[in-house]
Amino acid sequence: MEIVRTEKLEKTYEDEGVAVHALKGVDLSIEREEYTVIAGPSGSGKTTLLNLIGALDSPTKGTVLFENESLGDKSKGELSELRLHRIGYVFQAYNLIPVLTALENVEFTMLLQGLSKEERRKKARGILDELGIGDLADKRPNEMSGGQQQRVAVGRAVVADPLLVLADEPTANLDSKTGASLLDLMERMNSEKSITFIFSSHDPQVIERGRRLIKLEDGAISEVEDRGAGDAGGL
Amino acid sequence: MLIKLAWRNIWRNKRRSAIMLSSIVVGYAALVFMDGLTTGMVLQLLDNRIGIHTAHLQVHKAGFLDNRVLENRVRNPEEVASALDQSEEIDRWSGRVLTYGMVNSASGSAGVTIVGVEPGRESGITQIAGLVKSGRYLSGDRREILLSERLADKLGVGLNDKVVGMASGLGGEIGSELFRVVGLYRTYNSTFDEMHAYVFIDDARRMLSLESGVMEFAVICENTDLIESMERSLAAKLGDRYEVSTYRELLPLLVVQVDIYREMMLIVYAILSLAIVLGIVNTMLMAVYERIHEFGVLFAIGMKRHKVFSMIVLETFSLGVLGTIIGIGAGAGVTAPFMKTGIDLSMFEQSLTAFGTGAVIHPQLTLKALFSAAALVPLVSVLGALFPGYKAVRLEPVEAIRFV
Repeated sequence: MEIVRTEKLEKTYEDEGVAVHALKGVDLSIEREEYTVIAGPSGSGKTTLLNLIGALDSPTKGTVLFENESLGDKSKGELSELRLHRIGYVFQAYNLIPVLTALENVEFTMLLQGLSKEERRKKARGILDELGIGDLADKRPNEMSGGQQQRVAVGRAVVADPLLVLADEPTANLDSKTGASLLDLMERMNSEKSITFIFSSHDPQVIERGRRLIKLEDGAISEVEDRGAGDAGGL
Repeated sequence: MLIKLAWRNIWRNKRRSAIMLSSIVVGYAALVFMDGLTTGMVLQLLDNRIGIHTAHLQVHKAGFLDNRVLENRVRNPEEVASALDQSEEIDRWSGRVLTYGMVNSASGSAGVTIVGVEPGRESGITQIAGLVKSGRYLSGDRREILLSERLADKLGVGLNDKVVGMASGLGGEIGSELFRVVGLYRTYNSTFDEMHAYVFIDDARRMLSLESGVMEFAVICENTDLIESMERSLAAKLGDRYEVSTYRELLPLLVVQVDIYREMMLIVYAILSLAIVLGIVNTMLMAVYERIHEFGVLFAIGMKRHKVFSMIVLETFSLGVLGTIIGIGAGAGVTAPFMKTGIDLSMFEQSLTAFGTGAVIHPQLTLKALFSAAALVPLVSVLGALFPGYKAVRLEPVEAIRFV
């Protein structure tokens, strides 16, 4: 079942008066429960594509369909709702809220969703335990290592049971062992919670684990590689 | 959790928040102190005029206030005295004979209001007896005169010196009496001092060729809340042959002046609030600018713009509330000790006594002032947060996330 489709997606930025074509007509389809990696060199348009799929940015041309609904037809408020309830983000720089503890960071999304304090606390503690960082619940981001922060970020992204998690270079700031352990976690979330994952990365170990690999070069898809039976989406 | 988040955000940059807090604290403390000082000053101005001459109520023959001639005296003072004695709310009263006249000495003369009083009664009405700086108050003996120090200086006389009082008597002839200076007084109002000399009421009558009668009755009500109702009941009792007036009617310019001072405080409130608002805007703009990337993340995880806006307002509001509580406390703490002792502004004595307040000002800390300052908090904080909040919610998520 298709969750995301892009049609002739183009994005052009103005950079000091010069037009930069970040995406040049990307057609892409992502099925539910996929574990897809978008790979490519720096400047190939990976993050731009992720931002457009995640309703953080709007395309210059073309369409993004999320569950068959065009994001272009939605208001800013509806896009916020979509991000809040359906999409989780994992950023390269973790981007936890510095003044909140690990537990509160994970709770925060559920607070925005309007869950009760008891429910939030129970789910947040559960996910931290699941991620193996239950003992860090009361630590603030500056008291945790990069790997621990990224685990909290994963917890924040998946705790509200989104359909899709977008992970932009999630291992870029981690050593390979911590990165591998984080990827294990996300694979587990993918299989156990049926959450669709889309990564953007040029980290070999992320690329290796992707069950579908989409290569981007100069804003266009250069290659698609389906590696797992039943996981592949259409292009 | 939003409140917790706002509170913790405030203390992310402790120095900046402390500076902003200080500006609010100092602003509000200054406001409370200024309000207290101004209120004290204007009330003192009014109280002094009431206390040195006007009293709470005055009774005159109808028409006297418009035409202060001897013919408009109260010819049957017993009738008014009886009505005053029968009123339970009236504590004290005193009859006065007033006339414009001259006081002459060997070396000078001055035009004054000669006030003939019954010393025993009058000393319960005004503070003059207590403001005698040398000599003594009138005893009720004949030919005694009480001058102010300023008037005595002007006339070149001192205690026990002789002066001649002159005034136009009934029928138009000039009456005169020789007086001996028994005391010198000094009030808080130099203009008043230059214009008032006190003599025994019978001496004043004799000088004016009056057998009886008074020009006015000055009345003190212990409960000042009852002044207006006393005026109405006395007026009803005495009928239209008499005029009963409150100090507000007798001192209209002063009352207007007091009101204007109070209104001016509103302008001070507005100016200080504006300064605080600008301080808040400046600080919060810096805070917003520093957190653009974070706002992008908040947008990314689905926080709606109005909630980001609310968070910024909440942060400002929390700081505003804290600043106001401390500021009002500090203002009250600075003002309260001076309520009893007063603030000695002797360096401005000349102008302050000319103004009528005296050189020592006793600030008045009123609940109204404290509540007014406290009530400004929501408005000022929210106003200060509006522009930074607007800047934050105008951000596009992707641009905000990219911002470093």
